[in-house]
Amino acid sequence: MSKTEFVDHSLTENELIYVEKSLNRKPNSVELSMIDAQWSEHCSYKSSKSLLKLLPTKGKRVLFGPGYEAGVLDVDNGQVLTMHIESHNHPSAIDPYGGAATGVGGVLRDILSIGTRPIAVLDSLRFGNLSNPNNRWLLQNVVRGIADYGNCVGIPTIGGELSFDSCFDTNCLVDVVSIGVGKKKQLIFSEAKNVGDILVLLGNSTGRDGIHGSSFASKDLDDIPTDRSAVQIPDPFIKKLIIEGTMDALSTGLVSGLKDLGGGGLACCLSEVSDMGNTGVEVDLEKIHLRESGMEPYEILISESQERMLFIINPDNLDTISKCFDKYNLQYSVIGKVTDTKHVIITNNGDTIVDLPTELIANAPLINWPKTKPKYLDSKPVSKPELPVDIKETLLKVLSSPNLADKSWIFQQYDHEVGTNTIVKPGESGASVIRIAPEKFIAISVDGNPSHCYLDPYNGSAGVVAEAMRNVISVGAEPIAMLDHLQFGNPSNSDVFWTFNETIKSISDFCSYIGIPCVGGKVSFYNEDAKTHDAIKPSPVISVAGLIKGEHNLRTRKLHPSRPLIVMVGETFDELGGSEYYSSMGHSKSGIVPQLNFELEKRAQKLVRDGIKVGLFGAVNDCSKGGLIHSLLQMCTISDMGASIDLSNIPSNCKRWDELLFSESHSRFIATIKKENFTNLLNISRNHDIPVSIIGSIGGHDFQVYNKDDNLFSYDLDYIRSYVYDSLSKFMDGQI
Amino acid sequence: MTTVSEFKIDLLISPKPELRNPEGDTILQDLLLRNNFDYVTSVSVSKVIQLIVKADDLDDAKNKAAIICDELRLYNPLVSSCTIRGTE
Repeated sequence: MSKTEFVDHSLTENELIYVEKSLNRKPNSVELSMIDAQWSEHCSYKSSKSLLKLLPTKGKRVLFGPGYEAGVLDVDNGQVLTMHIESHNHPSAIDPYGGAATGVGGVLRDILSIGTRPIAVLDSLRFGNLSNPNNRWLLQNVVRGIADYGNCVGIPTIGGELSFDSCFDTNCLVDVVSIGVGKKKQLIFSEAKNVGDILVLLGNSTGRDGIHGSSFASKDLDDIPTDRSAVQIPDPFIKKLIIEGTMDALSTGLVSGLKDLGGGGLACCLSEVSDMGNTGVEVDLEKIHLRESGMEPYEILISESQERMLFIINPDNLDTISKCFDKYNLQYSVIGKVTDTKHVIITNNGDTIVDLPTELIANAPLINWPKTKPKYLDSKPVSKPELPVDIKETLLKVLSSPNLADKSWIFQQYDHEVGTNTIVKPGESGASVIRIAPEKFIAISVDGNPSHCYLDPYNGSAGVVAEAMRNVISVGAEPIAMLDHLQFGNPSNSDVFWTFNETIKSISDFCSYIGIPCVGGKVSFYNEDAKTHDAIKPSPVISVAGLIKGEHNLRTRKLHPSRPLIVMVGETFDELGGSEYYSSMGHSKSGIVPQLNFELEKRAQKLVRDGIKVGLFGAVNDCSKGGLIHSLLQMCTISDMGASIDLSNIPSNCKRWDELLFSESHSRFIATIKKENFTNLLNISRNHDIPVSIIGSIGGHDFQVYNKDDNLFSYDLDYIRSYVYDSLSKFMDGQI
Repeated sequence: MTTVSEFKIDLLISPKPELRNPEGDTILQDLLLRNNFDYVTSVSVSKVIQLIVKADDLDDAKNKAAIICDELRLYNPLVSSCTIRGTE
């Protein structure tokens, strides 16, 4: 059978044969479009599903995990926290403003779909080198898209992270995390479980925008459509009304099922709700409110027009529910009903144009790609870079590199305060904190480290989880769940699939060991250069949520004279492979990546949690990217207070000052304590078998580093800050 | 001998007509129609960038403005169109 007989689809010959065998006939072109959308990598997880099962998903607070619209956690008193992560990489690469904005819109709908109100958004962004004007254009417009959408819809963007690497020159990554809160008794699922219920499509009219969006997200970018078809138009104004209309409708208790329309549009939505409910659905295309005339049936089914939700309700309740929609002047149509056929049936002008078994559409055949360890991972180690002669020049160069430079240029564009519940704001710590009830707070972090993951996928990926956990622990939270977003190149490339496999294995091993459940995630493949087919570096992005009870347990990076001593928790090793320092010195592809000792990490995390709980620690900061010096500078700049440290007091086997300053070893924290509490801390450290040492003190306005009696450098904080703070905006202006 | 003059150039950056214009739709639905200005059937919001350009003539000024538009990527041709209008 020739593929040219069908509409423009991405199914393989084998998949087509499988469809025909299952149906015992050839699918027609509309059916093929639906299967194509649902079987895209984006919607079906056909290359990753079998491996994702390795991740631990159970936990004491987990109510619902992967497989639902969002992870759901019990945060006591009948309250639930929901969290989800999405990416919009491919759309953002061609329309950065709309792509990023609709990325935010999409993840908000997921939080809403499970019956909770979205309360915050965080972003994790990856771009190519800023020396390339196209990357600057992408970054500028992605940030504008996120900021405008969040601001218009009234949901704060409370944090995120950003890094640069030339591997992202042709494939930027735009990931959005959203969290929501709601009542346990008001949770709702994306299932059509009651035969006879009606399907109500709420929100925007359906147009031709975003057609083939999910298939497009599952391809390399060499096949970018040059017309509008893959572009999705954000509409935060309608989104705000949809949120309010949906919350009102849910409060009636009369909604049986709810699902957002995202990738794959109505096609995926219908097959998923009927598969989840173990029923069938019947939809009449003529009932759908359209924006354009002359739309083909397949266009209506796979359109990814934004800001649409599908409500499943008992027909007797339509009057009550529609009043909630009318209140906000929202459009809706009753488009069909739930049946017992276990088929998705679509009619148009009285003709049945789709009749497919739900089980077939919703369950793409899985693929197990071959894996080969990439050759570069076995290349011989290269000698270390020479010890730099000019300490000041080295320090300023590393600290003002785009990856370590202060990111306020970005987060100042976001409204991170709307709602007035943002307690720990961007820049104040590695995690942000939002209040969800009096004396109850959620900490949330998002982290990644493509350089570590490239050189050592196992330690790099588990290390990202550890760092994300350390960030929420640093604000005083108990980590309760994580999300993973795994972004890789083409899975048919056996090198890529090997690194993907290693990544899942390591995340799964570490999460199981330390006891943090994975409650959701996403996989994005096909992030590779269209011409060279070079894949991006393995880029898992991890978001960890933590719970804090009692405002007195909150911590930030802010120094306070009442706790003048700086202590280092954990040991520093000669592990600079993939570090920002090596990257700045032109050694980005060699060296030992920080190894994650699971046991050590667990003990260090426990020590810091205990130290906060008993009130020993004042300011706390995770020590990872950029090393000790970067973490300490973050604390000093946010507090406008100097510090002085002595490298010889750092628990370490490193001999060189650059290793002590820039090593990115795991399981380390910097914290401040009162003088009289050090003995207490030593006792705790012995109990946890983790080294702790006083490395300096805060005060004054100078940033000073000694190695015993040798003053390595001493500069006024404002002088260093002028480099670190202005660096990103200078890069964006093309001045550097 | 050519003389250099100044020209006022308007760069009108509009969403492509076939794409949705949420800002315009919101003005239409929530402002105009809600207040009974029902003789309005469509609203589209665009952006105007006004430049004063030194050039030999109006065509030269428009060409220079077009170069700025493209090189500095003042609009994304995938989702917007740019109309260049000018007067002396």
